[in-house]
Amino acid sequence: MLDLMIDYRLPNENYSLPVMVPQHYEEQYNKNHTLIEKLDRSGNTYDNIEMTIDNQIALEINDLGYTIENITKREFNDFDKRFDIYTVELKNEIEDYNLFVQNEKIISKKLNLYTKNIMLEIV
Amino acid sequence: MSIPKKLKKTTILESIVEFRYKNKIEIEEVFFIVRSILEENGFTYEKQQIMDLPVAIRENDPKLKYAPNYSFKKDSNIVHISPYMISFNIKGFYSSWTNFLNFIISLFSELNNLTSKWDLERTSMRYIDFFENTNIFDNINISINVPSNLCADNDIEEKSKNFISEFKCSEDISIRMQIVNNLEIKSIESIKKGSIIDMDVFSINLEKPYKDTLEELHNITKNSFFNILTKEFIETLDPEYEE
Repeated sequence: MLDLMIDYRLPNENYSLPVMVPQHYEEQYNKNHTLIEKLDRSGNTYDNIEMTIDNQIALEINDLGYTIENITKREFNDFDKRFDIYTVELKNEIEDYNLFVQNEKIISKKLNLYTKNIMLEIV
Repeated sequence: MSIPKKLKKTTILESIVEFRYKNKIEIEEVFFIVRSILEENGFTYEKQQIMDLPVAIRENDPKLKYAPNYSFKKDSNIVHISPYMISFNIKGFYSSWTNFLNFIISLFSELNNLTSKWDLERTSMRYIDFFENTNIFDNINISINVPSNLCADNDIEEKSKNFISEFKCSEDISIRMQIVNNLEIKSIESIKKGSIIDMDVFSINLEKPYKDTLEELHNITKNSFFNILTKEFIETLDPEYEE
């Protein structure tokens, strides 16, 4: 089976086709296949699993002690530039709004959102 | 022990519900039906590289049978299709089970033309949780011990641990879990290190209405997840309990 799998491999290593060692074959087959990931032989890489930008924003806001109700994304075109606007809906009331605006800027800077044409809006 | 309603701290990276079917429907037909409905709902599609493989290979290798042929995406919501499978995936911020279920139900009911032609084989639900800078094996009710004399007289230093196990919960339902520490995942800014709990629960009950199956799978996934974690660790994740 290993030979066959090697034959099937595509040039793009990032593609989610599995290349598992034979003893993992049965386990992998039984698994929910929608998201096929592979562990490398040292066992410490999960391919195709990533932390998306909305989850990173959420973690930063969690660290400030706020609970998030929802995050939505919309696009905004300004002449030739396209921005992604992430709107974070908080569950809690913002007590010190000035401090929160400062924190919003710190998060944007930390995650380099401006350079990625991403705007953060917390409501 | 009562389990939390939810965690305020974000841990879920991905959540997937997958329906597998016994019979094949040509991918062109699946694609046509799904596209006509999802495009109206604002989804865009992407053909997966598997479609560049010859049909004979795609359809005869059991590993590729359920692999996505096309993916439809709208923000963090993704729908994957193959001749034998349709799945609904949230990749990114997970707001609640209610929202995830609504996403599945709203599209699934519109896809009745397609799903009525398929014979269900199994339904599965999978959640992948990530804990940054955490050795999850210090915070779960599962222990794997290695003898200290593993390397004869030399002191050992554990570099990574990977626990995979499959359990049968009932006649119809099984859980497959994978717990890995010391791994790296990609993020937009950097590589993040931490641990993953990957729970995959599946049902082969073909009689129940799919909504009941989804609720059942969700209850089992949620209970298993919280029962694995130690109480002290759950407290660090800002749990929210039913009032």
